[in-house]
Amino acid sequence: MNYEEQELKDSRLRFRNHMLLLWKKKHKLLLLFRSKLEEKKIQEINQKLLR
Amino acid sequence: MNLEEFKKLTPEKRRDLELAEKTPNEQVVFEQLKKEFGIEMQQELENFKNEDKKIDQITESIGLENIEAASNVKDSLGIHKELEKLNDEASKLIQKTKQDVGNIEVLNRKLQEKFNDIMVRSLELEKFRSQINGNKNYDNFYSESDTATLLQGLSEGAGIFQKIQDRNLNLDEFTDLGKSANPEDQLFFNQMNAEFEEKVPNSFNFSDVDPVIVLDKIKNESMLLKGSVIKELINKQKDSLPINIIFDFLDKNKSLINEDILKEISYLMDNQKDSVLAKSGLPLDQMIEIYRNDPDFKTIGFRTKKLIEEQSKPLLEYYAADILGTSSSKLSPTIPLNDIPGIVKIEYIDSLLHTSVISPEQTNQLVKTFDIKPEGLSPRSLNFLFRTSAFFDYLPNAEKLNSFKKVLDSGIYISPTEVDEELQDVLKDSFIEAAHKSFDNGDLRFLADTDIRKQVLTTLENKGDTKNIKNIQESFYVVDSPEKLPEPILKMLEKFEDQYGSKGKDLIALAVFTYGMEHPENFVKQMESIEQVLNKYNPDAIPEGAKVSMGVEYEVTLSLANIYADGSDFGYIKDIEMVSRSANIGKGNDAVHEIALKPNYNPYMMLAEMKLLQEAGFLDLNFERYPDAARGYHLSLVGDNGLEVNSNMFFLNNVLTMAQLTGITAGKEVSNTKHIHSKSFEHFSDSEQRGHRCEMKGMSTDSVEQFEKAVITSHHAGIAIQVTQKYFEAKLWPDAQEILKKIPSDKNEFERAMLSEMTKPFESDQDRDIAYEWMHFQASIMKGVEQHNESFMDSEFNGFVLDNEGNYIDTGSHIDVMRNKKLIESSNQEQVLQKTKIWTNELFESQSPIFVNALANINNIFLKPPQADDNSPVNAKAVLDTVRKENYGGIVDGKFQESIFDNQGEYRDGYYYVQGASEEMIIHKTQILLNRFNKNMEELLSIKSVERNQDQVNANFSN
Repeated sequence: MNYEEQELKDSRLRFRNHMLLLWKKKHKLLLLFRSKLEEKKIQEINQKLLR
Repeated sequence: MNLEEFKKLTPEKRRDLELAEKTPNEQVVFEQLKKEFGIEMQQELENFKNEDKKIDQITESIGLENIEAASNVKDSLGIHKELEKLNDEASKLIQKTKQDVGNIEVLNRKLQEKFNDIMVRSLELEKFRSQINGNKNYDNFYSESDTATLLQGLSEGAGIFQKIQDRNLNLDEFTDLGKSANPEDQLFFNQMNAEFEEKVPNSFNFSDVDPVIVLDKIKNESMLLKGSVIKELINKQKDSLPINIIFDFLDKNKSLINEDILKEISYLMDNQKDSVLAKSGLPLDQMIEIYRNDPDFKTIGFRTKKLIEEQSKPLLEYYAADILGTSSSKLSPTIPLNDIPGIVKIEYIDSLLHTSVISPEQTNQLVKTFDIKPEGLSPRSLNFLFRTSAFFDYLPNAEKLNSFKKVLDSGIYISPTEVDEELQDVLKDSFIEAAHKSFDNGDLRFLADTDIRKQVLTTLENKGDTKNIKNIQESFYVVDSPEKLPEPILKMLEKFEDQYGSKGKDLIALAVFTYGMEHPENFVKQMESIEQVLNKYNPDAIPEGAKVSMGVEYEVTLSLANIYADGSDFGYIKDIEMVSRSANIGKGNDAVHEIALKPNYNPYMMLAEMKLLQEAGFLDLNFERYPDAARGYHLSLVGDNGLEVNSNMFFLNNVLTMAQLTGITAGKEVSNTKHIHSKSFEHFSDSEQRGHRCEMKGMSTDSVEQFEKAVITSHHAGIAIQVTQKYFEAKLWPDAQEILKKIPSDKNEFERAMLSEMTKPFESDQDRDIAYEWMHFQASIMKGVEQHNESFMDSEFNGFVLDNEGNYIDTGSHIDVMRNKKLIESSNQEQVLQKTKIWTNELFESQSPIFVNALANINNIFLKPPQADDNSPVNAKAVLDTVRKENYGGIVDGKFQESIFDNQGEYRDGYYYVQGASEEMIIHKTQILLNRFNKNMEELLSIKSVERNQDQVNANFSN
């Protein structure tokens, strides 16, 4: 592999690793969102049961 | 780069520059890759943004009745803003990456500009040349320094000759003084010689000197104005212009032309058969007269050998191309082949044979067409023809004999077995003489011929006065005449041959060189300790088809060879080549010498060879005797069932590095790593080899201990990988991760937990246990790395850590947390985390600089600054010195310089201690896990396990 191709490959690796981090952050956020909604849902159900 | 700088480059460097220039095709490939990468990034961004839609999906799936509540959650989290931020970050990342990739192009363009510059300069140079040809203004065209060196050398030389002449001596008489019994004569002889050595350069570069300056300078010095100087000046010119200048000068200074000059120049002309003047026999001044009156003289008359060669080359190429069937130049021959001097033809054929791939038929045709006769050929060409064509087959016996003699007399060795039987006897002495000469030239092929070898070695032994040559001779006794060995050594030889086959014999031959045979009892003692370790290898205990053969390649550098040479008569290369022949050690093609140990199933055999080579002084893996020697080596593994360059091999390579067995990772970051290559097999056994020969190129060591551990670990891993691959496909990340996550910590649950992943059920308990060891080892390392990424800060700087199972582990009571905190107090914590992060997927991929740098950055925190420029051996020593027992135990006795042969087959059981770090620190943890793997494998591969299997089979039968 020549110099430029190696450089390109390295850029790609850096990009891939960095994107992986972003994906993780996004998923964490979505999970948090989901758990908050679920909390609310439980509240709703509880309220319904109480009524 | 300007012309001056370009001129200073060595030819190799100039060629490198040219090669570095991209071919259009490469440019297309690169553009294509860039485009694909661009598309990939856009796609990735789109996917990433699309993920935001999951908010609606999630909202819908939860199905809150109060729709406002959902909005409230969104608002309180600021989720849209956060998502926007992430998307922004991704966009910026893509922009930045595109810029990076763009810069690659810029760099490429810059390189291009540099080459254009060189091209332009070359054109300028051409123009400059033609200008000076027209104006005869050749100032600055020649090298000033070469001219000055030549003049200085000539004048110093002349000064010395003057002193000799002052004593009324001619050169022959002076030479005789060296043998004179009179001490005064000898003193003078030595003084003059020493002065000559000191003041006169070994060789002059006549071709780049300015002839006018030289001639002008020497014209007033009779000692310098010599025919030989003029002749050299003329003969080395590549151009007709300077020859004209020289003749101009001689014409203007007719009074200077003496007998000597005339003789030399006539000789020069006589060499040119097609020179009209040379045949004319005219005196030189008349020749110059004709030359002056005939402007075309240089093309029809006097031509130097170089000019003839250059002018004949296209013609020769034309004729040769016709025979070789290559496309010929457009030039049609104006001169018949017969008119080209024979010597030029021979040299051309010779170079053709050197540089081109030519079939024997073509060679024959060339020889016929070019009318090459054996008596006209140089020994080198004869040798070439002998080896590449049927040329010799058609020679009459007398001519054949003469040709062989000519080749042998020149010191080129031909083995008696290559020569017709009836000639062998006549040439007997020539073979021996050629062997001696070729030995002096560093060609040791004669060692393959037993009879010649015996005679030459005996002569050499009488010549040399170090013990090396005596030991070499004795080590050949093992091969040639074992009856000459002392009784105890002979017995040892028989025993080793019996137990280990030809490899055992080779080892004894090496040991005879290393230890000599003066003290047989010492020899026996040494071999017994080696034998004890060799027997640790138990082939019967290895599952069928899972054997691994390993070979090592180690490059010997010049600095090593130079230090070695001090204690040897014939130098490193000759010594090791001779020993390699007697002990059947392979040889590679790189460096000063490349030791290439032949593959062997028994890893301890390889270690024994290395130990003996080290004790013999051929290398030192502790780098004490040869501190600047190469630290890297190549380790190749071949499996009977087949090892391949796949995630398992990558894991092995990476885990060896993590465990510091390929050198202490510390100091500066690296930008390159070496990979595992798949090579062709080197057959050494009857068993059928499958898969690849996996050559790990990135191996390196600071000590014998690391080297031996790395070899033994690779041996165990090679077996374990093959067994594992019998039942599990080698998977790539992230599939590998999924499987490894399911490995239970309880061995007994392994088979059940894995059933759905296996291609077939385990054939034996041993197979199951070995596969478990390997996969459990991988899983533990993977978990260790995950824990490291999560809690490196906690474990080393806060004193506690939660492991993957959520267990609280106290590290604070074992390490000095306060001290450690100081180590990073000035650093940005985020940065530290980023720099020390190990991407788990990289464990299963080809080793990357990011991976190695993360390890170095971890070590760098603990190892004391300042760190040297390179991976400092001082740091390495400090780390290697201390091996600690697991569970924060004490320091293990012993030294990293010691081999398992010094310790009855054991090595220090513990981890290289990076002071201040806890056992959770990944580099420590890896070593602990690796030691466990090795111990368990050793247990599984001991005879006991086989017996256990046998017991099981028996039990099954009796049931």
